[in-house]
Amino acid sequence: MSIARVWLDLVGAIVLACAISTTAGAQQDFKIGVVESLTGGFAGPARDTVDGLDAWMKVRGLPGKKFVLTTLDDETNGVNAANAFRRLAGDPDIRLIYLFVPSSSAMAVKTLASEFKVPIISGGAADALGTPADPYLFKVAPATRDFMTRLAQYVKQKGYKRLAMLEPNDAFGQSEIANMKKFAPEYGIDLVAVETLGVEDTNFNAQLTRIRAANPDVLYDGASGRAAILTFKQIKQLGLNMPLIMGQSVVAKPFFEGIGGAEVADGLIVPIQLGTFGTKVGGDTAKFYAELEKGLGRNAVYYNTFGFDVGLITESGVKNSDGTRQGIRNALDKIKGLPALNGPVTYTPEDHTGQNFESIGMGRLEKGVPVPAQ
Amino acid sequence: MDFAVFFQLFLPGLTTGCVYALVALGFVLTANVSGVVNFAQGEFVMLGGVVAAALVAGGMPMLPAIVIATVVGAVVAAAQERLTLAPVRDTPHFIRITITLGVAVVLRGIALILFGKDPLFLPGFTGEGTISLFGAVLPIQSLWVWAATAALLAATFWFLKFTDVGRAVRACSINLRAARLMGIDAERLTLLVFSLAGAAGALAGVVITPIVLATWDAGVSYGLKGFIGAILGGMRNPVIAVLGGLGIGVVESLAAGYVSSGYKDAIVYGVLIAYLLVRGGVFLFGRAALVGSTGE
Repeated sequence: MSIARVWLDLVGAIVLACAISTTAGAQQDFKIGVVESLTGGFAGPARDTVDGLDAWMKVRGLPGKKFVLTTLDDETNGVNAANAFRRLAGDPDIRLIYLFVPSSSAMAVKTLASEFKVPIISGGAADALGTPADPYLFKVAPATRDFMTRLAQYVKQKGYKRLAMLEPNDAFGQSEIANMKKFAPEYGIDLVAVETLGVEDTNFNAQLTRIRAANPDVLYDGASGRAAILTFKQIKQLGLNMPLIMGQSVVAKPFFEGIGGAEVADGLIVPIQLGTFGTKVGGDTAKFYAELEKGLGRNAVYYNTFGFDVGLITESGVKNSDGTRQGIRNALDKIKGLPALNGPVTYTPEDHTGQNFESIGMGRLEKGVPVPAQ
Repeated sequence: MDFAVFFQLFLPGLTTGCVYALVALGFVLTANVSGVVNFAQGEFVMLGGVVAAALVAGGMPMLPAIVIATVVGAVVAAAQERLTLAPVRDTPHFIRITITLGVAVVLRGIALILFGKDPLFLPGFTGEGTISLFGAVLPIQSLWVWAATAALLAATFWFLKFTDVGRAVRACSINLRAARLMGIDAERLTLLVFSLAGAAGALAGVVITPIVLATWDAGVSYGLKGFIGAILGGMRNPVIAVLGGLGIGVVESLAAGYVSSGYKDAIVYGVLIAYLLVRGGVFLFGRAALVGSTGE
């Protein structure tokens, strides 16, 4: 083979490679990094979130843009989440990062957000994710303060005066207590008992005995996971018959199985995001919920609705920007009252929480399904 | 004092204490014959609970599920002894103890993979009802926990007191080396005692699961509290270990009720530390301390 032939082949190969690369460019790939809990305790909700996002891509997406997701697992661990974020943010082609991780992992990333100057749309309910605002991190779901605001409004509306709280001794539970202590005087509520529990505890007789002695009009139980199942059962066993309100995490199969069937929880009240009511509440929620179910091809669960909202926020940020990291951040920062499945989304330079208490409704469980409570 | 409140705290504490007591007994028996503290002991409680709950959820009737879960506990404990401890019988204590910690982690990991992270539910043996006792309301399953614990303890103490094998176990607890020199087959005895301790732990896990559910990580808490009970018994005396386990369950429940739910673990561990300091002679003064330190 002559040297000229070798050169000819080489030039041909380079031309071909350029052609392929140009064709790929025409598809306008839009690279998004995802830190997701693929394994560990948060794997289920994270998977549901991604399903909701996929449904948004299917039914809406962005015309002319192909979303390419690069996903790293944080194993439901804050340190891993921070490392995964660093790796993704270090790729200059990635223009936006999603955090589908629990609050604790998202908080670990928040400390790094401004260092890499890449916009982040984050899950998590911790108030500290949204306020004080990091310029690059945008939370979606309402904060603990919003859930407690809605709870206080409901308690007042029903004419209850004496509220008892049973909360886990973690940051989430303590935040709920702190917020309710702040709101209670404003809504004329007397906080007659505040009991804490260890998430690994199995015997809650002490706390419930003290709550019974306080004689509350209504009891809010903020436990989740196994503690939610056991507190619910022990509340019933001890014959505490006051109205019971629990956190939205109980609207899940493991809770219903643990208490002996979904119908056992009939009448239980939960503050829950509007999206969970689906088409029952009308307006934008009903419209987007129908789109979500079309994209999913089945009934939606809560975290699906959250994933769909992440898509809607992305849609707004990318459409109203030049597609660069800084441009998307600036566009997200200006979102005001963006219609979304769980309620309108608003960001200000001081507050990146996203949705507020208006995106939360009070649901009453009927055979495991929340319906709007009167 | 409101006695209804007292019993509402005391009796559920006693129920939890039953499980701690059986774990403590397992710690003491295995330590006596093998000379090693088996930190995987709490995992057999977890194992019994998740296996029985999974079998019943799969459609198996309760009784065979209980038997199988108990046998699984015995078999896994025997395997632990044969595969991980027997080969290193002559190595220093800390190596064997570390191995038992490793076994505990492995068992938890396997349970997580096989049974998932969600709590598993097992129906009460005689329904989900409650009973009222001294003004306290308890799940009926509590009676099963007490009855099973009483039966297991009675059987264990009968075994130790009135059978040749039991006497051999007690001989090992007094002086392992001398017992071996007297012809006791300590290796076979170790295997037997590990199996029995595993089965007892698993059965404890089965009976408590209708009250507390079964989760892959439940063994840690049972293991730690049972260990404290065993420490109170000096790792030698099964009776004091059992009483220690029962006492810990009651103390943590009363502490949660009369002091604060946030301090109950601190109080339990505080009691342990105080006991160890007293037992170690820290609070002895003058000649008593001198006698202790010189071993006179």
